Amino acid sequence: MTTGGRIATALPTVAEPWADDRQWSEKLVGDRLRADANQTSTQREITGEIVRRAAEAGAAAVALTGSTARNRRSESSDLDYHVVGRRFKTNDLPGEVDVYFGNSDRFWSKLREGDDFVQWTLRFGCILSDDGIFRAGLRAISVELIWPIAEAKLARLPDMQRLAQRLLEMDDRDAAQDQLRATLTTLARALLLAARVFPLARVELPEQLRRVGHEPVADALAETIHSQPSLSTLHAMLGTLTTAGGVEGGLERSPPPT
Amino acid sequence: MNALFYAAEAAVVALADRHDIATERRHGLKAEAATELYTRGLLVEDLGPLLRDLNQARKDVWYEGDEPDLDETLEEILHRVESLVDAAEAGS
Repeated sequence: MTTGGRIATALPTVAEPWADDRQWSEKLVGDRLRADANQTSTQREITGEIVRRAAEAGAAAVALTGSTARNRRSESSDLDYHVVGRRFKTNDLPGEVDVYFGNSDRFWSKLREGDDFVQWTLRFGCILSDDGIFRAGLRAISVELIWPIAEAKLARLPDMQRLAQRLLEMDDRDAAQDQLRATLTTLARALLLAARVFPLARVELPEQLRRVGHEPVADALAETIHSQPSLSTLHAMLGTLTTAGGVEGGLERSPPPT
Repeated sequence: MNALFYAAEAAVVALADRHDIATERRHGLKAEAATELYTRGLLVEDLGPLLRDLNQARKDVWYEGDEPDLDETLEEILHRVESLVDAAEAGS
């Protein structure tokens, strides 16, 4: 089954080619308003500082991403950003700040190689500054019909599972839950991409999974997001990954593209 | 790198619990606790920024498949984390 690459069928969400300057300006204004509305005053201050430092470092573009951009924050949510440009200092900022840095070449290679994070930024992120690269990226998705590749995520899963297993064996409950949540999130995104459903924010993934028939993974992921499962429950979740169809089986069960 | 991150966090939580500093299973709070432990003179250096860097690096590896982008070598980080673990063990 082909699970990634360029497809000839209609893609969701991104339809406009963004050629019209006024339309683009309106999107940027809308994105900034959305970012402001979705953040607390403290988060807005942090975002302002990120944008200021990015400009100082000559970044090509900055977007607020993740659950904050979707207004779907959970207790474990970070404040996520995507910066196209060189890395600058962020480890002095308060709270859960997560900044992904990559230069322009990396942006284009990840987009065209089927990375879903770059597309996530373009589809759902709040663009806070852009020298034109995000706009060009959005156009590329529409014109070239690029769909993210599920296999890239699947390739990382065995290592992620092994680390979760080791943390469980060490009885480090917090770390094991953290790693299992990361593993299940990666699996969820792969399953959804294979089903031609674009994964939203993490807290939205369980519902998306249920709609395409992956209830066990949905349930396990929801529990790692919203609860503090015991070590024995976490062990059982690891079993969900390996015995309940797991990665390859999950993809095989995915419905065909629509 | 993952082992360093989780070892550092576990050591900070052990020390923070002992000195009534909240961490509540949040990575950011654990980093802030490391800074608070330094501010109170319980650690010889502020390891909060290191915890944040390691957290970011492991996410870049797991979620994006990128190489970790750290200012120090893993060996240098290992020495700093070992000191932290020693400090946690000394008071236990």
